[in-house]
Amino acid sequence: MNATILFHAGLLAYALSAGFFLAHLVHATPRRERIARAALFVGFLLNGGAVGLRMTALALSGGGFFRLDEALSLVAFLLAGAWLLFDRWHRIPTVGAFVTPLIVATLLPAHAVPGATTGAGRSLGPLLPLHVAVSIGGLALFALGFVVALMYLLLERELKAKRPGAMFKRLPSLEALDRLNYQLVLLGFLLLTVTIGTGAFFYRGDGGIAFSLRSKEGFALVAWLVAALVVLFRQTVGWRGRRVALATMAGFVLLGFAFAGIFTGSSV
Amino acid sequence: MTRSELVLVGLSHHTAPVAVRERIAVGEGVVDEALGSLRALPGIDETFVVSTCNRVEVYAVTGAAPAEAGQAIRGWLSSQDAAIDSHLYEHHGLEAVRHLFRVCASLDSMVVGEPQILGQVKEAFATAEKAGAVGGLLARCCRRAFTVAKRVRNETQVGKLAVSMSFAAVELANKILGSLEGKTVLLVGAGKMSALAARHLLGAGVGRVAVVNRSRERADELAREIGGEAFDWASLQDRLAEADVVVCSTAAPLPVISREMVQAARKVRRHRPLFFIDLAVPRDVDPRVNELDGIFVYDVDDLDKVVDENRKAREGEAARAEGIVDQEAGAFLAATRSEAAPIVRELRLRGEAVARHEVERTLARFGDSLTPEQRKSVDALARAIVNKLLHEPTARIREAGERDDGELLRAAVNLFGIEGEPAALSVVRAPANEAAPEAPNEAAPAADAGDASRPTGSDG
Repeated sequence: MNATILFHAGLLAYALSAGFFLAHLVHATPRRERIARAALFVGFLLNGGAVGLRMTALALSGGGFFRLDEALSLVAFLLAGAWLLFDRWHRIPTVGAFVTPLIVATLLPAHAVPGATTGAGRSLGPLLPLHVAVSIGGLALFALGFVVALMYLLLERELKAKRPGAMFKRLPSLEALDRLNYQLVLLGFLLLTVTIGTGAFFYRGDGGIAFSLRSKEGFALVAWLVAALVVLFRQTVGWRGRRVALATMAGFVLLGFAFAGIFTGSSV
Repeated sequence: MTRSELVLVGLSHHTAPVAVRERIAVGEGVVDEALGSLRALPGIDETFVVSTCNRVEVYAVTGAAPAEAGQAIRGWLSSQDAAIDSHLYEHHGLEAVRHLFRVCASLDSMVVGEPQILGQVKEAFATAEKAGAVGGLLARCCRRAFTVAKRVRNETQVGKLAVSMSFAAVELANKILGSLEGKTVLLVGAGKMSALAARHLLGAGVGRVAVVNRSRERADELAREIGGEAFDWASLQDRLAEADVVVCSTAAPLPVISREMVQAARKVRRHRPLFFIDLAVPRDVDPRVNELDGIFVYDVDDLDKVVDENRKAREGEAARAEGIVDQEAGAFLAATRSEAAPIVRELRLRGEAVARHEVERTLARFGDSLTPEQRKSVDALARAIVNKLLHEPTARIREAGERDDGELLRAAVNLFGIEGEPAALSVVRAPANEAAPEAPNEAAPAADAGDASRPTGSDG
């Protein structure tokens, strides 16, 4: 079985899971929850198989680069894995209704343009795998942070409007969402720091240019700055709540642009 | 003969938002004055006022046309605020009785089944009774309403299933703050509702309760009662910086917690979320405070929205309770509308008194020579003779009442020597101060524990 078939089968399973999680959000039934979880797990295994096959192929061929679909596939895989772990502890199916559509959205561009490759040069050195893995891990964390921040904003909106509804019934407390969001941002910030650090190192080694401000570096830097500000203000003046949620979402969008920049190669 | 009629004019959370209700709330300090001016209205014989944060209702008995009395009461209420007329509802006769029964049984409350309203109506009734504003039909109606409330509570699940506004507040606090374990609650105002909310929050695991009140003495008292800590009013700003949940129920006419105060406190508290439960009417917390990030303000109307779903869940039980109320209201009115009722009652009371007196005299003559069974037999014999003798006359009197045969009724009053027509026919038309003695009030009103000069309680 080749990686492409696994990839598409995984995408289908994720879409099925998203459908059932969303249906569960509208009208909760144990059956919908069970199917949604099972489909997500199957999607995760298929997705993992696709990623594994490609990794093996890369290792066997002695080097090479992630194509767009493979990179996004890895992001989706990490995202699904992170949520499945989170779900084991917290068992909040509502989160699934937010995470699974995001996973599908991550994979759709790959489905549309599977052949796109990274614009980076071929001589980035031995730190490349670390750079790539850490950056994708960071993106996955920010993606999860985006979902949690969105949940925070939706619940906050219901509470502020004094009309507790679906979110009020199904989501954990604002405090819990805020804490989880910050933890994700903090961890994401650390990974982003390593990503940018290793990225800068490659450029210096490659062409003697300290930093080339192409789109991915530019967006990544702004995202890093946003995360740094969140961490700084949280530690100093206790920033939390809505502004942290909005900053997290902005951080994820910026990282998304940075990630897209790898494949477009356009300048800022 | 003029028939007295019960009239009700008022507004509640069903018809008026808190912003309207707070404008015409009748404060505890001005109830006597209000009762005085209501009784001075044309056609009003008896009256009492129920004023809680969820309703302001004037009940009255009139010997005049109910619509005229209703108009007079409307005029009186509108003199407090001209804009409220469109929010007022008016009921006469059976509908008014039914409404009072529903209110007391907590079927009209914001949170159906919440028990506070019964105490509040009892309190309002006691105040009116003390002021001499009730005594005849209205007094009987109130006492019947209290009994019906008890019946509803015992025979249905409405009270047991009810979630209180305080419970809804605890649910919200949990959703905003996560666990309430170890959290600090600040009570601003030391009224009854504060105490109730504090107890709920303590039950939910709150770690510490601070009480701030204009009267330090009352703050100390409440703090002792619930195991909290009392502080001076001047320290309110500092307390805001420490608290996680703030329960407000002061009597202040203007907000005591401004947006600026909360903004300043937010910096000190490093943006930790803060939840205000504003139970006061007029409101204690500036509504704009809710616009601040991480700060949530819920007033009594907001809590109503939150508990709406729970209310739906209790609809089945409430329907049964409504059945009881309908039946009781109909029975009450049928009994009171019959002009014969007081004569029959008086006749029966006299007959029983004669029987009792004669039995005691007879038994005293026998001394201890009779066994308890024999004593019981003598007692039963005397009662049976009285009942048999009175059966026919009372049946005839009832029939006369049903066909409005005033002549026969007056004849019965004269024949049996029932003293004074007004007293005997008090149900038909009883001046408030000259009413016949009633059965003892079945439940004394709760003592006023609030520091408010207006109602701080809730029937929601």
